[in-house]
Amino acid sequence: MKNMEQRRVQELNYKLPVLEFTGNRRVLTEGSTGVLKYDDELVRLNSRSGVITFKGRGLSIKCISPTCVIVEGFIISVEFTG
Amino acid sequence: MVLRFIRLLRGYVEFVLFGRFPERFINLLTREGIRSWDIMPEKGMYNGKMLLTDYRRIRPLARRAGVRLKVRKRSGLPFFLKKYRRRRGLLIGAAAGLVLLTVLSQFVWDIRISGVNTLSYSKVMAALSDNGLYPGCFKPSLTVSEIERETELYVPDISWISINILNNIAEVEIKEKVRKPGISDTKTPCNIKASDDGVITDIIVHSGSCTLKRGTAVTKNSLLVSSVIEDNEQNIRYVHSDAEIFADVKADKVFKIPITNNKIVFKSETDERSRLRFLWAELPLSLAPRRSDNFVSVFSQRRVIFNSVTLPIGDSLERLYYYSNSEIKHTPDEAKSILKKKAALYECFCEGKGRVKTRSFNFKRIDGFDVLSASYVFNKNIAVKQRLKVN
Repeated sequence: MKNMEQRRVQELNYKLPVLEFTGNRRVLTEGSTGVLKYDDELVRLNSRSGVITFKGRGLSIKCISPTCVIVEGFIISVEFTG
Repeated sequence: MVLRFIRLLRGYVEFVLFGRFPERFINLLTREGIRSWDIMPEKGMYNGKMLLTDYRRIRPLARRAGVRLKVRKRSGLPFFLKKYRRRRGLLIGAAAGLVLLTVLSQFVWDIRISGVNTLSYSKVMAALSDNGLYPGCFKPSLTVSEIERETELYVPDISWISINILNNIAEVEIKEKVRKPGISDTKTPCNIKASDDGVITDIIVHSGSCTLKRGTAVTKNSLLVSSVIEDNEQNIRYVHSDAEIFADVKADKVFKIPITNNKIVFKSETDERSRLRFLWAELPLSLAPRRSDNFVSVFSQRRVIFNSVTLPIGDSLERLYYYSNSEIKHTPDEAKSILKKKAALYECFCEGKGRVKTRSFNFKRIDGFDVLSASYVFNKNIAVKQRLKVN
């Protein structure tokens, strides 16, 4: 557990976003820097290492904070750009 | 759950967001540290939720992002209070309710007694009440161990008592004393003597030696059955005598009543006086004065029970029955009837174990009294055990 935490801190230090999926219904993105595009079929998030795109149906931003976004809905694909 | 409660406490708004750059607006919100949740796209617009304090700060951000906001719904405590701020009665009522609840929780509302089988319930209640535990008593002033000890002393038939005060109910658990069964002595040598003068009609001897026969006349305290038994070799043995000796016993009894007698006659008029009870206090609801000093009052109490909990509120009803004292003079027939009833009671309760063989009555009026002289012949067991004294 401690190792996992350490790894997560390390990853953040390397400016990589951390994505935590719950099936394909929920994704927690740590290290996002903003929302670029948002509708019910596409959510595009900016991060320090590039753009992350979630495609799906009935997508919604459940909760948002300066470094963290929770996206819920039926996620079909995830795309990394940049 | 906790988050939802905090949000309700602080108040939040559901808003609709529409315009040119909604994503930019969301980013501006996060940069300003404004928390929003449940942001959902719907027909080219966005629905979201935000705390009331944050919503007041977002106008400049909306202008910068070129979006417009519209409140759809307001929820939470601040809106509820705003809605009812002019209705001060509600606030006063809530405060009064809170005070009442706090005050009432300091008193005992009800006493529940369990474990009472042969003991008198009202006697236990009276003992508890005398020692300070009664419906309406102040809880912090009670010393449970002292009440338990005092009640145990007051009611000697209690072997163990425990009082538990749970919320506003005092639960009293009682264990009654188990009485020792009476042990009849069947070994100590004893004679059987006559309890009355009489003529023997029947003899049943279980142990001991009896030389009497039917028809023998005996006087009071004469020996009926001896405990001394002598065998053929002239050895003496002492036994515990046991026998039933039936004899015809003569008894005379005089019953008398005064010719003129005071009699209480109840009138048809009654009064009812009700009182409202709250804890120990009573508030009279009727102020009708008493019609006379000659009355008998009967009390009845009712308590409000809600959800099997007896509340400290109720009413008591006092019903007054008025009577008058009148002097009546018995006719000889009436006097005879009354005296014969007395005689019947005497036969039943004073000479209950004996059977009446004959009875004769003689009625007279002497010195302001009606007198009934009764002569009886009872057939009864005259055997009485008497311990043998050996000097």
